[in-house]
Amino acid sequence: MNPDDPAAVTHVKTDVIREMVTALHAAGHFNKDDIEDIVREVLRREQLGTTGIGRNIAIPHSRHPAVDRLIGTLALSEKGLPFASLDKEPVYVFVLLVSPRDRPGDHLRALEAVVRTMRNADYVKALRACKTGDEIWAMLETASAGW
Amino acid sequence: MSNRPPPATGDRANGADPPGPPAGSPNGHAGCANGPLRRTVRIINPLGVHPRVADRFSRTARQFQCEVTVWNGESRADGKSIIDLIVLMVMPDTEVVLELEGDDAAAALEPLTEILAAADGEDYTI
Repeated sequence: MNPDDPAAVTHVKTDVIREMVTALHAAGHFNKDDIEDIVREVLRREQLGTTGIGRNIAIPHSRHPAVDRLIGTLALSEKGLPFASLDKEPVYVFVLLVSPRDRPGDHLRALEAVVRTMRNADYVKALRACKTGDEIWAMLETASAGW
Repeated sequence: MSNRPPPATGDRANGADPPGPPAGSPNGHAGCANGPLRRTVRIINPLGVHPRVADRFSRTARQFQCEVTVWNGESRADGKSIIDLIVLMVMPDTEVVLELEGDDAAAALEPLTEILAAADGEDYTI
């Protein structure tokens, strides 16, 4: 696909975000009926400015009343996906965050924690090399000590 | 942080008071000949310096040649890096010090101050 085609990039973003939101639903964080509305909110935020912050990282996120605490999930892409990133590079690591509307401080702290961790190029390299969920959890555990 | 209510924005001749550069940093006014230009800005956006603000700020900062630094207490961020600005984690009702050094520092001061000091309108999407 053409990474300079906005429609194609929007399609990719929608697929990635829907898959990640669905994973959060599967983990029991909100009702199935809320999936599409959360996807819409995350995409609306994305339209205000890309969360592809560069260094092959994207942090799609939103606040939504369907959740009562901050939740998140991480996804990896082996090939890298176009995400209209600030540095125009493909994204390999996605971290999706959803938080309640009334806790912007938690939301900002979570974003900071993700960005601080992911700006370590060695960490991102090791994360991208993970092949199983257990390996990813182990990597997240090493990061969370400093969160 | 001082308990006395500071103005929303204000030029600061002496940047040694917290928040801001550590004591001993050069003070000054406009232009590199006189050292860095500094201004204290109070963050009134109820979401703090969130990624969209950081994005706007860093994009604007990159339009200027001068060095742009944002101090939150004794932590500082390269104002041209969205990643640095997010990690600076500026919460609402915080004072930061904007520090500019270079030939076009004076031209950059107002637009950058405006972004940091903005209430961000009615749309409080982070």
